[in-house]
Amino acid sequence: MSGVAPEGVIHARLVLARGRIADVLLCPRPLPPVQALLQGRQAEQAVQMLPRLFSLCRVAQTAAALNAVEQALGVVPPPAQNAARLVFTLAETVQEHATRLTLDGPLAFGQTPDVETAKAVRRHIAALFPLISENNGWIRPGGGFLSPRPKELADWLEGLRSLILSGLMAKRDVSGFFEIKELRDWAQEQESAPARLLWAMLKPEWAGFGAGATGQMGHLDPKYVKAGLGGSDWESYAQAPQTSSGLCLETGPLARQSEHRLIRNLGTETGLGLAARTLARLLEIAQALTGIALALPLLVEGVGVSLPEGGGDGLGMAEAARGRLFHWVRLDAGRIEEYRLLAPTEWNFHPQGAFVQGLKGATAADAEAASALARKQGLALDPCVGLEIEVSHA
Amino acid sequence: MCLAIPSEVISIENGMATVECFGITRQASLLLMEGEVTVGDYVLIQAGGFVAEVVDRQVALETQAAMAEALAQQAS
Repeated sequence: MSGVAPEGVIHARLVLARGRIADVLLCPRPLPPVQALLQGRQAEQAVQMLPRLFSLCRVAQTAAALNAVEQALGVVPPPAQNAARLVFTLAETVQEHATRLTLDGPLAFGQTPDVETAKAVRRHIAALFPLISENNGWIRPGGGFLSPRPKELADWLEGLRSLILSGLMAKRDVSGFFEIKELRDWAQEQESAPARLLWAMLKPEWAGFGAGATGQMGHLDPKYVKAGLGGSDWESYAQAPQTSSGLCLETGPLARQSEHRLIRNLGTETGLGLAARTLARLLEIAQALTGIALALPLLVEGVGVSLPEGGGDGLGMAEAARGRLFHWVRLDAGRIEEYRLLAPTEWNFHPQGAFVQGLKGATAADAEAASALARKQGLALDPCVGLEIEVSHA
Repeated sequence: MCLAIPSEVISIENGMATVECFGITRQASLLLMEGEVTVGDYVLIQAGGFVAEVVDRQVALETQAAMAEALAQQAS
């Protein structure tokens, strides 16, 4: 690459001392220019622009934006609209996790990627949207036009289940395992790309790598997040968020799956490191299938509610594949006055957050080894982060 | 932030595309899109450095212009 990626990168300086990473210093990335892109636009038009502005997690970004605008206007969409947004967001999560488990992950470990499964999942997910809402008609504050096709949706879900079971889980539902031994036995057979990846990651040198003392994000008081994003010092908050008690938290698949018995057992045995973060993605795919199956019957044909031309501010939230995402908006007469985002990346790459805590103390013989570790940790936490790594010696 | 700034494909070799956006060139893998991308296309690059989508030329140019204006406005 030449020059700096326009999407923004995080600069990480690793300090090596006596064969270990003694310190990690992060420089936050610039905030995205969403304010400049959206200011003055009608709320409906602004929300419809969002899928074009984001290359990853665009459904989650759109869902968070819809929630924020609806809260600002005091509008409650019909249940079917929320069900549609949930189905789309879960499907996007399946696609993103499947890509990580079949492409990026194997490549990072020198394994052969399973391109065909990655492509098949992407094709299948893309086919979902017109079965519920043609031409992105669902993207409207208050709810858009839904025209679900139940028979085709049932077939689609069965097709996805089959694809996941054969392409990713090698014909066993990993989420049903109880003991780590079952997971190891499954991984050792190496009959799918995620199995091969987990087999490599379950080895002692990798399993616990990247674990740290950072807490996992559970309930987060929305009033505190709203005050942070809506306050005068919002940029500092959005670049280095903490809880009201000053804690850094990890958000993402591991945080969401932290109560799964396999994750708890793995945490006890090896720590919540690389293996746990990878396993959490696989477990979440199974959970997403269940979530989609439960939400599909809630879909009914219809449109949303009409919007008042009001003002106010609102906070929207969505669980994107890579973690919890917040959008905050202030509207004036139905137009965007202020628009702010808090991405999961800023939690995980907080200067005292999971990326930093997981790397500190890791054994690294030289700068090359330290950089490689940082890239693995970055990929495990947030695959869409551009990292610029510099290594210095204490 | 995963902003979707479309990049133009300026060359393709051995399954890798060299793409350009705002004067910056970089490499991206065509593993997900092999056979579906040609030189001159505008594409979106996904996490991990994979080309994930071909974008309509007109939409790409409009998005690039809006992003350039917004980035300049933010920097000023």
